[in-house]
Amino acid sequence: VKLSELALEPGLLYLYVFGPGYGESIAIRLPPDSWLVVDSLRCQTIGEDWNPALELLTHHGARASAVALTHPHNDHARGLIQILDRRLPGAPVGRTDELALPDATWRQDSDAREVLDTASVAALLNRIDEIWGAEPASEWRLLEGETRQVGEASIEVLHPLPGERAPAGDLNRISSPMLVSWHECRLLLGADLPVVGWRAIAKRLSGPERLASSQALKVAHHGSKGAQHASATGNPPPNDRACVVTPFNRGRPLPSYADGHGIDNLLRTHRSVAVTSVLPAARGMRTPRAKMRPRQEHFGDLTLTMELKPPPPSQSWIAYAFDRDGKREGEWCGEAAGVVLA
Amino acid sequence: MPAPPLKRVEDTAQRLVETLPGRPAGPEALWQIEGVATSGKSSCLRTLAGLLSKQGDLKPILVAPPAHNLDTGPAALADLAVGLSGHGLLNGHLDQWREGGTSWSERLELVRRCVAEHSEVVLLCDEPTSWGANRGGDDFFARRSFDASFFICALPCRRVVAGHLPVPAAPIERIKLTPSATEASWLREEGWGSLQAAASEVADSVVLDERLTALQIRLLVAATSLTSLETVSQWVLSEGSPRAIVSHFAALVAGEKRHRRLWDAWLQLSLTRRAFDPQMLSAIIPQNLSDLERDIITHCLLFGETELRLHDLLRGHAAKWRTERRANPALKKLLASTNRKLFELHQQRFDAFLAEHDARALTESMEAFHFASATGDLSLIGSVKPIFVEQLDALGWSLSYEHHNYGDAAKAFEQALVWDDEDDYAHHYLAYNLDRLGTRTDDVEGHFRRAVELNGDHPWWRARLITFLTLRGRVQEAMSEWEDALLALGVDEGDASAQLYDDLHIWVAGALLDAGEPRLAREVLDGVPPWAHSQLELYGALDQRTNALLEIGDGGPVVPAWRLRPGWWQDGPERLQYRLGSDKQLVRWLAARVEGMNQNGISIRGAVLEQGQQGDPAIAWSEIDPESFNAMCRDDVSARELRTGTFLEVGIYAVPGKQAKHAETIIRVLPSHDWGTHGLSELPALRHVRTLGLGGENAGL
Repeated sequence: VKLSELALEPGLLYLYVFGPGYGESIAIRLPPDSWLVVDSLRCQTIGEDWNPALELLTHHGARASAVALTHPHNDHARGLIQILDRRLPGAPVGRTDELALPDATWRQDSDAREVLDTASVAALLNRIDEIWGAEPASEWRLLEGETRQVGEASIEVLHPLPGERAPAGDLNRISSPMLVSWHECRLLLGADLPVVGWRAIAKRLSGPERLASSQALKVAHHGSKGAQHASATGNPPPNDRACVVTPFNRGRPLPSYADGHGIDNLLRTHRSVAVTSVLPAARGMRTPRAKMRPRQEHFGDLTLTMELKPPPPSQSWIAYAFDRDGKREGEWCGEAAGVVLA
Repeated sequence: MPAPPLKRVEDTAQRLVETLPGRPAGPEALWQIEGVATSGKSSCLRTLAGLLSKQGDLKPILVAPPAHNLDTGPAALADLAVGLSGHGLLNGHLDQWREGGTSWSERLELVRRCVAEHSEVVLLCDEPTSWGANRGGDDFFARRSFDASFFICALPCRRVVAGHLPVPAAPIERIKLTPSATEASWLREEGWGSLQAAASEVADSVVLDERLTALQIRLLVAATSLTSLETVSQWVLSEGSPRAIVSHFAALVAGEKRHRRLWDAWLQLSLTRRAFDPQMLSAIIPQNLSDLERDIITHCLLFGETELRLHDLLRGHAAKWRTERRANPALKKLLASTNRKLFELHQQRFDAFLAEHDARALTESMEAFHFASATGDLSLIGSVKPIFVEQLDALGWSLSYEHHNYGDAAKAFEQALVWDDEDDYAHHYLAYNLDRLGTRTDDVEGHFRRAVELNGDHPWWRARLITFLTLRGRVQEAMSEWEDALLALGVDEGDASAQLYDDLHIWVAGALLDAGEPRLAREVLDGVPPWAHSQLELYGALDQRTNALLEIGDGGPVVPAWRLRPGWWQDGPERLQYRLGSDKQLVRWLAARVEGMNQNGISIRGAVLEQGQQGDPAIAWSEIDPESFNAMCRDDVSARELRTGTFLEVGIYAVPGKQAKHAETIIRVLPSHDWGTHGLSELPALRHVRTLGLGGENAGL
């Protein structure tokens, strides 16, 4: 299905999750016609400049009613500036309360990726500060309990507490999961919060079962083992909840398909796990599809695992529609996405 | 004091005294005295002023502001006002002149009316085209100086201009002065003090066979007293131009420790901007100078008897030396104390003139303000009332650029705007200084925009607004301003100069890279025509950085940033050799980055490359156990010392034609160093970002 072919029905909530392997973006159409954008990804190469959430808003002639950056990592921040350009005046703009950035020496880093990533995040944070200054009502500090009404839905921030700092610069620790509630329909957006954060949420939150009983889960931190907690994933036996993972193909790739790791663990509590982009992340995965199996070759004393050519980023998405009771009314995905069954 | 006979200068002045009354005042009544730096043009103008004053029919006004200064334009107008007042021709407007709130155009109008009403006025303009030479990298002050020189030289009265004409006009007469050899007789006069012997030696020597000007001879006498006639004769015989003699003499004085006091005195005197009297001289220079040093200063470095002046060549040489060594603590201390001393002296003179209702209080007040600004001491600055709004602009520049006192610089520009709300310079730099402070962001943008409104042709005003918007993540607005700037400045019409590309494109591209927008940076850089690339110091660095950031696309880099460019692999490996001693050759190689460490060892991701690789390489992952890494690595780096982000080169070496199993695998670790794009680190620091644990100007914002 092409993203642009998806017609929106007025009485349904639509959840879009984009994740081509680096970067994650969530766009939610909240009835009647409000849009929440949480985090952003942007693919920018010599020949391409793609920002899926922006494309979606533009396609529907919509403007964001609320925008949030769960934490200032570039794979969640890139392209959010463009979303802010397509925001309704006065719409809430959320970011974590305290931010730590490296000083200007990053400009000289020998790793070009580091330079680009830090530059993008710094510009976004400047932009948010500027908006908060110019439109004080838009200020949305992403702290536990900070809830905003968007359309007919409420967006509840679950973490962190005021004054909580990112230990040792680990910004995932202060990332902000959110619970989106529209009548009986609830979506849990896990951000990149590790287990220690989920434990704290489970202790503090009144009615923590609201999280695990939500009708959809955007899995925390690209499905890493260290970010899955029962308060978010629920407990066995597996249920039919929509469970979406966005892969991360840098460094140690996520999610892991190995026994006892991310996908395997998620399948203990969900009958299926959707991954927005399967091919590049499938290294080590036992799969019947030969084309998904990476080729190996010898290189002197090394064994090389050849990286599979990733599908077009624009095919790395999954969308769901829910009614006000939380009943799933439809699901769609791009060609790169896949569903892993138990 | 012995003075050289300047017959040609005196004759010229006398001839002008006779000629000037014969022509009526008006736009055509213009005379020009031409000549090189040591030909005596300024002396001629001053002699003429003296002669006209004595004669009494015409009213000479000498306009000789301190050249090459930020307040040169206003100082020229002040000279004119003081001259008019001295002749009783200011029509009672002295109080209006002293009022700070009067705008530039109002002052010009006041002067024009006074001159138009008094046909006996003769303006003597000393080198007006040199007034506009600016410093500080901005043309605002130069514009004011050009305004003043153009305005004054076009006034409808008699005018005598020394040097080039700033206006396209045909003078009634063009008089050419050439440097003339001076006679030796003045060297044999009494009055040289401890230089008497040296003066006599020079007078008797063959060097006087050369055609030497008074300045050259004075310096030869001074140098002979410090070294020997033989040494200075060599200077004359090798290359004896006035500039060369000044350089030789400066090298002699500055280069030897024993002449340190004399050199310090020269440097101190180079800070003076106008003529001073002997009393001021003794207050400026060190008290512990020897008689010889004192005589060198009075007889050889300074000109005039009661109105002493340092020759422009001597001032310029010292100023260059000062600028090149401005970070030197001892020099800074010397200059700071001299600036303070000069402030005090001019303030005293100001008080004295003010008490006598003498208009010279105007110029003394401007001098006091200049030297107070140079100290950066707010208590001194606050004790002098500026007259021109441009003085406030210059104060702001000094506080910001020289003293890094952005808060008080902003206050100076705010005061300037109270006086003149259409001062684009003050709007721009108020914004700039507030931005440096990280405060009042709304005001910053408003003033940046107002400066563009007032003077849309200024590329810097436009570049800073675009940079401001870009670094705050308002890229869309920034690019809209960019399009406007290109249209307004006529860049796409091929009218742009290399300087414009430097002021506009280079800064905007740098800001876009700093905001993570390499595609837009590429578009901006592509707007620089090829002929200009080599003329822009930062173009190459920005070009490489932009290509590198685009080259990584959505993947991670496998080579360091400084190597990244399209087809980077065609440059071959950086550290791997092409041959080993064992006849083995490099047959394949891997450019890789350490992506992490885990229980399996070192995880790397790299590009697989053949010799003569043509197309895009395949990307592969691999795990290397620590023992294997240590065995293959040829650098003094163990597996335990590796860090994520380290770049490696892995090479396979084999003897051509032999089986692959005999191949050898070698790993080289690329040393870590900065990107190394010179100049880029000077881009403005990101501001307004909340930071933790960082000091400096971002702290606590």
